[in-house]
Amino acid sequence: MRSLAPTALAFVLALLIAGALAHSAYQLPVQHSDNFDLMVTASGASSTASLFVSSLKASPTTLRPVRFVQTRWLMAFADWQRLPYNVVFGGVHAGLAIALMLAFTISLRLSGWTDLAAFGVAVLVLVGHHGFAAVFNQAYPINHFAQVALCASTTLALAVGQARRYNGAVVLVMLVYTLLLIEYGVLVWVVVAGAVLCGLPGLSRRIAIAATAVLVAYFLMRAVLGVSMPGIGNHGSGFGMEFYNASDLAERFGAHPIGFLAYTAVGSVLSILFSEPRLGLYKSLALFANGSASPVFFIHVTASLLTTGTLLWHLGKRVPRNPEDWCHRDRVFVTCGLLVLANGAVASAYMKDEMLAIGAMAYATAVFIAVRAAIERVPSMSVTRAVMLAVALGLGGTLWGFRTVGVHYRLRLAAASASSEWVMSFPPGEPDRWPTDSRVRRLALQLRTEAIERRVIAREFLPRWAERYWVE
Amino acid sequence: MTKQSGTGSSASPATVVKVVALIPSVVLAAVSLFALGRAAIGQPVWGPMAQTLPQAVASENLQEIARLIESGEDPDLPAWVPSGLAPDVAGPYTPLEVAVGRGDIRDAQLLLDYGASVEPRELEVLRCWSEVAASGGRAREWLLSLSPAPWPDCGDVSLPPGRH
Repeated sequence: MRSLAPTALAFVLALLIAGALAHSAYQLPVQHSDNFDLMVTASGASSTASLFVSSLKASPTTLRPVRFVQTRWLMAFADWQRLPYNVVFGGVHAGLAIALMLAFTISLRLSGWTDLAAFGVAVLVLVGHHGFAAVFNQAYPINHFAQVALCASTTLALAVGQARRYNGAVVLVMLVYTLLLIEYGVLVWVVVAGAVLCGLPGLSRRIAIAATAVLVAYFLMRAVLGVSMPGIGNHGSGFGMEFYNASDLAERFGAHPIGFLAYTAVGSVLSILFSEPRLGLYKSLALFANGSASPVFFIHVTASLLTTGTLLWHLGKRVPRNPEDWCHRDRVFVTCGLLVLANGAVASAYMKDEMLAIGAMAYATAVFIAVRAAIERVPSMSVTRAVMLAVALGLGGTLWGFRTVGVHYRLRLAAASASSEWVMSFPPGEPDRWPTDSRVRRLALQLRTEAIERRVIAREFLPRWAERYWVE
Repeated sequence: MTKQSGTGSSASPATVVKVVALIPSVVLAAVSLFALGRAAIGQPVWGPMAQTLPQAVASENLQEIARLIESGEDPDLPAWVPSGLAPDVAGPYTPLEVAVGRGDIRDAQLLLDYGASVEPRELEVLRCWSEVAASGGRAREWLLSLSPAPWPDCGDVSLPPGRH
């Protein structure tokens, strides 16, 4: 009889780690930049329907009506329950951390002690990965990358399970939701297509066709509305060793974008696999040029090399070349590989960490499969190889665990920074910088007061050494 | 679905590898449990610490500066600033003395916006203090902009922290 203890223990591990992450994420107040204008617009519309319609033409390059609507509904909920906005939005932010961790754990379909051991490494890879951790550093006021990651992870969990009647409906609803939330939602379609292509049992070809029809309809709608896709110049990004702001990027690469798009797409994949480059910047180049680099670079790259090395060993030695010979785990592994590549393509216009969230989840899933396969081979290994594997897993897990603790540290810094931002955005002695409209002014005052009253730790009181090892 | 390995004794190589792989996440889960427990009793790890206004200025904690003043704290009241945070030796400083001593014009201006006093005598002290504090020179231009009064002769001016 199969023991449930390892699976139960895995969920306990996941929930404890997610609980601490949720607590740290909850400390983050709604930031002023990226959020205030959105909240003003969302709360000022006469109705949800009018907000939805007006948000369809809010930008020439983005189509994100759900973002406006969900913000409006949560603000209305907070008003109705007389709760501070930060409690409601912070609660959703924290809830997303737990939901993401649960979806990830469920999607692995754990069973047995070997799975638990591999999960122990994979869960640290997930939370410590810069792509995944970054979604908690910003609330928009609900982080849309985290929502897409949750939908993608849920889709993968459905795909690896049995085919059920409701799978198609759930997947299509999530696809529509994420596509209208942010363009990054296209990766949910990639999960569906990749899963069906690789033969995962939970999703049928019919579901993939329906999902593709939804995607086509989405792009047609964008064309009809005259909304293009975000491109070069929408956001700053690095190239080589230099970071360009949005306008400089457009000036330098806008006329001939192909090279830059390829650079960023490849860089995004490398970043998921090797933690290098970051934001388009290659610190390894700086290392060669200057002979030195931050300890963060060495910790991140070493951790990634250990786990990506295991992945490459698994890909080279364990995954059959002929798809007909693939077992269930091979199919999941290849689906995750496709997701990492697709994430790179989607993040080609500019590189920022949170745009790698789904790639990071796919990476952690693939690490789970590879580590599990490696542990399974231990009985047939020589003692030397078994020792090497143990050292690699122990060291890799420790480094990824260290990165995970750093996520909490950076969330404290982000909370302090976000609170200060409200003070400086609406300073007490500069009435000219306050909104003139009374409704908007009230909202500004409320959010500012909430941010100020939500006490945070000052950077000076955090460990002095930590910045050197956890902040890029 | 899962083929179990390491079917021998508990000390088999497979078991050892599994335990080693699991240790970091178990340690992190234990640390997480500890952190959650501390948060549950209102003493979170890396949580906010009680600060006086001069200490908040010394730690560049804008949120705490605003919170303290908006909850009624006197922006001119001196308080003890420990070594490591103080612009010079540990001792009592007013919030503005800390800001000027650190050359932190942003915080100094915020304190002024909140009504901190820069009456002539106080301004003389701040100007002289900026000459001797390690980073005070950065505040010189800002201090000049506050008043057309000439820069004082600092010989007889009593400076923080000893003046309090």
